Amino acid sequence: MMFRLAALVCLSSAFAIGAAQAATVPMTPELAKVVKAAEAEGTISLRSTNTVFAGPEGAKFAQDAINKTFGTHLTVAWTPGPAYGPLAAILYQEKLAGQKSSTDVYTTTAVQMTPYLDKDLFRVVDWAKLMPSRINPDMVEAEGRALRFQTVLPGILYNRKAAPWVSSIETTADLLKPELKGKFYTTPFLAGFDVLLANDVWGVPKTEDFVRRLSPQLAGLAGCEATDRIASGEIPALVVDCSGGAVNRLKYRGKGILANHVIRDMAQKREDYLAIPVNAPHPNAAILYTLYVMTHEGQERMVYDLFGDDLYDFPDSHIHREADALAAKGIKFIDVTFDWWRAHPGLDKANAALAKLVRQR
Amino acid sequence: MTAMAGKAPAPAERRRRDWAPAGMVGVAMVATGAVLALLAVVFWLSFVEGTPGDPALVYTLDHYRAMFFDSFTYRVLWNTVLFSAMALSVALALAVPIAWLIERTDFPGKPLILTLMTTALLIPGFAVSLGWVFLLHPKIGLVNHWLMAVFGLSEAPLDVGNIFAMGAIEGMNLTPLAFIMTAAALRAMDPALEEAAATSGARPWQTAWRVTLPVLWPALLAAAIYVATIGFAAFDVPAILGLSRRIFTFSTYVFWVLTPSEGAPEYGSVACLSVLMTAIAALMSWAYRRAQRQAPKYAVVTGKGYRPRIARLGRAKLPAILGVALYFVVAQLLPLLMLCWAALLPYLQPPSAAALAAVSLNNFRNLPQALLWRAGTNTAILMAVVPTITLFASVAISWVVLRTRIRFRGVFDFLAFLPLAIPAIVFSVAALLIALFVLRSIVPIYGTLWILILVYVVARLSYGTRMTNGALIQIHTELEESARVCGASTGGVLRRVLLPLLMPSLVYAWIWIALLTYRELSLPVVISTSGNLPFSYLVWGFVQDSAYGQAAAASLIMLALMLPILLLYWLVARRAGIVALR
Repeated sequence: MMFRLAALVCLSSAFAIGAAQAATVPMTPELAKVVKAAEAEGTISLRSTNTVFAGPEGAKFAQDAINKTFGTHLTVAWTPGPAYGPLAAILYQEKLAGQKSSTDVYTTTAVQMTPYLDKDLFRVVDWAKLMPSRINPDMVEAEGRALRFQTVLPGILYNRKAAPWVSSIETTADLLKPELKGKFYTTPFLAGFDVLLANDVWGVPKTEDFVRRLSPQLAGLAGCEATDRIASGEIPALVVDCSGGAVNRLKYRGKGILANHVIRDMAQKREDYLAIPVNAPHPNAAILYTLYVMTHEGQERMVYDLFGDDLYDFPDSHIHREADALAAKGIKFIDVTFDWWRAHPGLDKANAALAKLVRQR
Repeated sequence: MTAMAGKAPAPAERRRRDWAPAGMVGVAMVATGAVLALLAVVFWLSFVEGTPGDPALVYTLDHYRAMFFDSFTYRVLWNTVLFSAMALSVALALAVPIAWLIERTDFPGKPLILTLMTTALLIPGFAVSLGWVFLLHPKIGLVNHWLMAVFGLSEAPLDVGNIFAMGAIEGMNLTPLAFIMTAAALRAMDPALEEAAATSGARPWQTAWRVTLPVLWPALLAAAIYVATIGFAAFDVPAILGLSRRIFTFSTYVFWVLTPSEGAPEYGSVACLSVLMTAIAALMSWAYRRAQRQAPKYAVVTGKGYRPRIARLGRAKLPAILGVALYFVVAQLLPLLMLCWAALLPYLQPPSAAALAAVSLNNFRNLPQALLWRAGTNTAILMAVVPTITLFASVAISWVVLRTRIRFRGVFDFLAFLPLAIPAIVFSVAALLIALFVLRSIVPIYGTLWILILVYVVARLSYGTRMTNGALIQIHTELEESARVCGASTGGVLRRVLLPLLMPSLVYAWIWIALLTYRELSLPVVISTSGNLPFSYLVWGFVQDSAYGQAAAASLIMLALMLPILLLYWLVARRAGIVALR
C-alpha cells in the first residue's frame, strides 16, 4: 500500500514537472494516470472533414501543444473523413463489427449524436474531475458522453459588398420582401430552420407556411462549404449558414469581406461537442486531446484561431462577448444542447420533410 | 474443358490438359461474384431502415413507396436524362472526329494530343466547373461583364445555370474518355473496306458514313453507353452549376441524401434508387448484348495482313489543327488556368487588380506534406494494381462471353456492366459492410488498400469489359482457329494471338483506368481510413471544405508529377508499336 502510494506520488511529481513547463493544467492524480496511459498509447488518430479539428494544421498544432502542456511525446495523426452524420454511422458499424474506431475523438452536435446515445457508442468520462479548474459539470452533457467545447451562432453568412441589404434584416419576415426575391440562397437541408419547428418556438404548421413562402424568394441552394463562392459574390448571401460561418469564415477574418448576421426570431446558440468512441484505439490520448481543447490556451489558440469559435461558457471567450452583445440588443437565443434536442424529438425528420419544399423551383 | 471453347484439341495437345479455359471461367466467376456480392448488399439495403449492422434494423418497403410516389424522383431522373444525353452528344461529336484525325490521318503531334487527352482527366472537375462560373455566370462571369460593357446590355446574355449548358460542359469533360474508347477501335480496324469504298468512287464523307461508322458501331455503342452512364453519375458540374439553381441530378440528389445535416445517412433511399438505376442499366446491357450477337459482322481484324491506312489531310490539315486546338483551349486550357489561378490565391476570386495583389505560393507551402506523400504513394499503388487486375478480369470475362459456348455466359457480361449504374458511394457502403461483417474474420481488409482495390476493380469492370468486348469483337476467330490447327493450346492462343492483337486496346484501357483510379472521388468516402488514404480523397476533402486553393495546389503538384509519366507512357507505347503515332 505504502509502495503504491509512493509510486503514485512519484508519478504525479514526474508528470507535474513536465506539466509545470506549461503551468496551465493542475495535475490531479486522475489526470496523472491518464497522462501515463496516454504516453503508453503514443498516438491520437483523428478523422474528420478538413475544417473539423482544423485538418492537418490543427493536428500539427495539437501535437506540439499537448506534448508541451502534459509533458508527453504523442503523435497526432489526422485523416480526412466524412461529415458528422455519416462518420457517426461508420463509427457505429465499426463498433458492431468489433473493430477499433477509425477516430479517437469524434466532434459533433447534439443532432448527430443523440441517435447513438442509447447504443453505448461513446465512452462516459468524468470530465469535471479530470480538469476541475476549467470544466464545470454544466459543460458535460449526455451523461458524461459529450463535452461542450465550442459555441456557434448560425445566421446569414453574406458578402458585405454584394449583399449590403443583409444588415437591415431584423426578422425572418423581412426575407419575404419582394425586393429581396432572387438575392439569397439557402442550404438544401435547411440548416438552422429545425429550431423553428419546435412547438415552443413556431411549431410545424407556421414553419411550413413560412418555408413555402420563402422558397420562391430563393435564388438557389448552396452548401455551408460554399464560403469562397459567397466571397466571390456569386452567392451574395446564405440564409442561414450551418455555423455562422465560424469555421469557413476563418481565412476571411479581419478582411471585411464576409459577415454573419443573426436573425432576431431564429437566433440560436448551437453547441459543438467532443466525444470518445468506446472502441477508440487510444482512449487516454483522446482524453488528453479533449482536455487540452478546454484549457485557456487551447480555447484561444486552437478552438478560436483554428476551429473558428470558442465556447460560450467561458466568460472571457470571444463568442461570449459576441452573444452577450447581441443579447443586450434584445436578441434571445435558443441554446441547442442535448437537453433541448431531446426535449423536442422528431425535429430532424420534420426538417427533412420541410427541406423538400425548397428543392422545388 | 476444351469443349467450352467449342473446338476439339489438336493432336499434339491431347496429352496435356488444357487448363486455360477453366482458368478464364474461374477468373470471370470470381470477378462477377464480387460484383454480385456488392449488388446483393445494395439490394438488401434498399429494404432496410436504420444503420446497417444495427440489431434494431427493420425491414420495410417504405423506400420504394417514397421513391415511386415522389414526383421529385421523376424530375431528378428527367434532369439526369437530359444532362446525360447532352453530355453524350457533345462528347461523341468531339471525340470521334479527333480520334479519326489521330488514328487515321497524318495529323501532326500525335504523342502530344494523346498526352493532353489523358492529362484532361487529371484536372479536377471542380476547377472546370468553377472556371465556367467565372467566365459565364450572370453576376460575376468575365465574358458576361465584357459583353454587357461592349454592347450596353442591361442583363447578362449568357448563363451556364441550365441543364443543357451543364450537359455540354460535362460532354467536354467526357470527350477524352469517348476519344480513348473510339480511338482504340479505329486503330485496330482493317482499312480494306474503306479502300474498297474509295476505289468504288465513294467520297471521304460517304466512306466515313457508310463504311467506317457502321464498322465502328460496337465500339461506338460501348462508348455511348459508357459515357451516358458516366454522365448519370457526374457530380462536380451538377453540384457547382446545378445545385445553386435548384437543378438536381441523380448524383447531387444522392449526395444530398447521404450527407444530411441531421440524422444518419439514408442509405436505404439511395440503395432503392440504385436498384432502379440497376434495372435501367440491365436494359442497356441487354441492348448491348443484342448488338454483340452481330459480332461476327464487325470482325475487321482478320488473318490477312494489313496496315492501317493513313489518310493525307492536305489542305484540311490547318482547319483540323485549329479545330482540335480550339477544343483544347476551351475544354482544357481554361480549366487549367483556373486551377493555377486558384492555387495562387488565399481564397477564390475573379481576376482583378486586388486579386493579383493577393497572389502567393502559400497554398503550396501550407500543404500537409507527410499526408500528401502518404496519399500519393497509396494512389501510385492503386494506379498500378487496379488497371492490371481489372483488365485481367475483363479479358477473362470478354473471352468467356464471346469465345465460349458455355451456358448462361451472357450473365458474366451482364453483371460486369451493372456496377456502372450504382452510385460509387453506395458501392463504398456495401464494401464497408462486407469488409466489417463478412470478411473481417476471414480476410481482414478493412482499413487496408485491399478494400479500395476490391471496390475500384469492381467499379471499373464495366469500363474494362466494354473495352475488351469491343476489341475482341473486332478480331476474327479465324486467327485463333489457325493457331489451334497448328497445335496451340487455349493458353497459347491467348498468349500468342489474342493478347498481341488486343494490346492496343489494353494499353488505352490500362492508362485510362489508371487515370480514373487517380481521380476517383466518391468510392473512398466511406472506406478510406488513415491506412489507405488516396490522393483524390485528400483533394476532395479540401474541395468539400471550400479550401479550393489547397485543392488546386495539390492537384497541380500531382499534374506536374504525372505529365512526364504520361508522355513517357505514350512514347514507349509508340516505340513498341502498340499505338499509332506517326
